[in-house]
Amino acid sequence: MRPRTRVTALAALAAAVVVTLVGCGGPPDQSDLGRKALQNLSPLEKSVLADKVVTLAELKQASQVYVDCVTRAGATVTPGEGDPGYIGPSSFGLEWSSADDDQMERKTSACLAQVNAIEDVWVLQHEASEADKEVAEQRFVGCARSAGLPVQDGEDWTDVARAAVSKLDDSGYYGRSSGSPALPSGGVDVSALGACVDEVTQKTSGALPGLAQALATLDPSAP
Amino acid sequence: MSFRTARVRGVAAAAAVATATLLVTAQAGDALADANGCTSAPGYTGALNCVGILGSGLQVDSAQSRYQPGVSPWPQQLCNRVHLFQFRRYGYATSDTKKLVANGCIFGLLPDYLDWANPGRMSDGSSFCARSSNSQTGYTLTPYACKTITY
Repeated sequence: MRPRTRVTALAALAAAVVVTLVGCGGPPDQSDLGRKALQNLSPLEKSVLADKVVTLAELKQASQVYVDCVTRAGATVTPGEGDPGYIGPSSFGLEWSSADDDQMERKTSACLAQVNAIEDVWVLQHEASEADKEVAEQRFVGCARSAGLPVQDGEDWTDVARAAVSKLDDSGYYGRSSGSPALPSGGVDVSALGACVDEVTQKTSGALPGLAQALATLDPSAP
Repeated sequence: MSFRTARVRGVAAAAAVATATLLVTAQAGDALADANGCTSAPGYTGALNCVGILGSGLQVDSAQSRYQPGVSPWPQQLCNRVHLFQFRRYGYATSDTKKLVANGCIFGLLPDYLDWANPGRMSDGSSFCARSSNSQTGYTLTPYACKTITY
């Protein structure tokens, strides 16, 4: 190999390594999502979060501001899309003509950005305790075992969750809406296993990582 | 507690509803969906974006947009979840878009899906599509995964 060719080849190799590393690296660490959520607060968010507590009345106010904003932007609002009884901004679905997709997605996202820190803090105030989450995780392990998934004694719940999701994928559970109903697969009741995954997902859901710390140090008077 | 996960309803509905006649397809400019209605999606390696429909003929009783996280080096949260459906209702010449948002975060190796209850009757031959974005996609919307509605 000639020197110049070798240099070119090495450069190409280095570039390939970089591309591979970037490609495999995936998204950046998400531990500061809570801090980012409290940056660039809207006037309403600053006002509501001045005492670092969101009341139900303030959550309703945030929802109304959001609904007014998206309606002005041209979206049709469909209420009641969230959990029964929940009235936060995310409980409202939106519809618009697909011809306006890019513009409407931008506009409605901007509307949500005016209030979503309020909803984020509401979620934080109502998230399950770590102890309750651990109970849900252990309950999930038992649930998966009862559904027929092979589970080792003492196996970490995240490994069981990985195996469960993999089993559901392989069995066509998620794709069943386009075809057959969920059937037992290899001794596993995939419908029951799917219910286990749904339950642990709901019970271990929570606030943005780092939000509690960011809220504790928030200075709403800061520009 | 009122976190928006909207999963349990989907499971119950899935067991009960008859199968629609659906073909997996791809919309111009979007990746080809696989037999499960999925396309590859931004995020960790192997991430998928999927659309699911329950119903019969042109009637769609329930639709689902699902983001399946890829394999991350360590478990990550999945936050700031947005799901979009694109569809053409019966008797309409143009498509509409529906946007649903979920608050909070879920554990990031679990699939994130939102169900849309009772979308209604769709146009014969129209595409019914779903896409999503979240913290693992870097807030980039996935390509649409689509199915074709037919009698």
